[in-house]
Amino acid sequence: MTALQIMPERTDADLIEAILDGSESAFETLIERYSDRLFGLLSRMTRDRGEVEDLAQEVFVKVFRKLGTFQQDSAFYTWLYRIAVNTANDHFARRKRRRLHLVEDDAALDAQAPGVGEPDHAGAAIPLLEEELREVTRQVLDTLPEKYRTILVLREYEDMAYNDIAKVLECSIGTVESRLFRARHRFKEALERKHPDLVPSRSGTYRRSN
Amino acid sequence: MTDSHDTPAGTPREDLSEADRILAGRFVDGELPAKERAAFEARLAEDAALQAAVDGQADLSAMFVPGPAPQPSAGFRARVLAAARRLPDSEELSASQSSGHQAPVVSLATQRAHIEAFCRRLLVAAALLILFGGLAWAGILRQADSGQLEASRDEIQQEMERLDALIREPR
Repeated sequence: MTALQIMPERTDADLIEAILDGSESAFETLIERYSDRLFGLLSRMTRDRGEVEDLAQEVFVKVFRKLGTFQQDSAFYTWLYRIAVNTANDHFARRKRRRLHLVEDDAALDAQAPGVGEPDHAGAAIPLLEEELREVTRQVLDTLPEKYRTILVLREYEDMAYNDIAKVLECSIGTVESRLFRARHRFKEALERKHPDLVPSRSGTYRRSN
Repeated sequence: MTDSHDTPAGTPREDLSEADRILAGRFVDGELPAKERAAFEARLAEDAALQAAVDGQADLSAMFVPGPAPQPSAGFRARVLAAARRLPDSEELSASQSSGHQAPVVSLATQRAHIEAFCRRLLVAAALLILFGGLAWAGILRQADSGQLEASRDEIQQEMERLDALIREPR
């Protein structure tokens, strides 16, 4: 058992200090602490699981390289998210430039969508409507420009406060508010175009209007 | 905008200003301070359009149901650590960044490794040189031992002249 394993209460600041002093095990602990969260974020930005892992690796390596520049006046995870969002968006832009961004058809999306058609962690079947809704949402989200997709992922999936989103995107809270408003509007328009039959009910669920 | 009451999620009414719709978003997202929130709730009780915007916003947010995220593979951490080990030291980076220069391509450790590799190559080259030099020297000795005689340029010249003289000499 390592010293880190018997001191799980080490704060991010402690770990960062130790990493800057050359502790590899502290970096290992930081990776372990934030892997799930980072994989969650990246999986909302791309459906390709292999790509998620590659991006996560790139993000952690950047974190290690730039850790000395981290200003500890904000939470580490917002800094991590900033690197993750920039890394992912740079990657998508490069991919687009190289014309490797293939248009995914619905069948490919079904095949790659995480969790679709599979049992959840508890082994129980996911209700069809929720699963369908999740897939529709992802499809619509994928049609949005990057800046709108990113802010919706941060707010709606990651449940981040405006203040934290502003730190991740390096913009003002006012920009977050207006961009989020436009992103939601664009999402709603895309939803209308792609799934005009889908209407919300006041119980918070969705149904098809037929 | 094409908003109307029978459109899908997140559709506020046409007569609502953008500021009010942003406010509705902030309300649903829990971003309003207590005082603003109380004032907004008071408006909501009397403004059906605002209430519709809030409902639409809440419906839209309800669409984003996060699925299970993929888990890191077994070797993920090891790969990250291996990649991080190949990076320049953070001190080198910060020093180069503070001096306004580009980050070094290789770290001091890597440079040391390169120097060691160069020295190893140099030693091997020297050993090979000594070996071939020795072989060549041994070859020269063998040639000397083979009994072959060497004449100087003058001796050859003299011999040639002697032979010429013999040929020209009348019989």
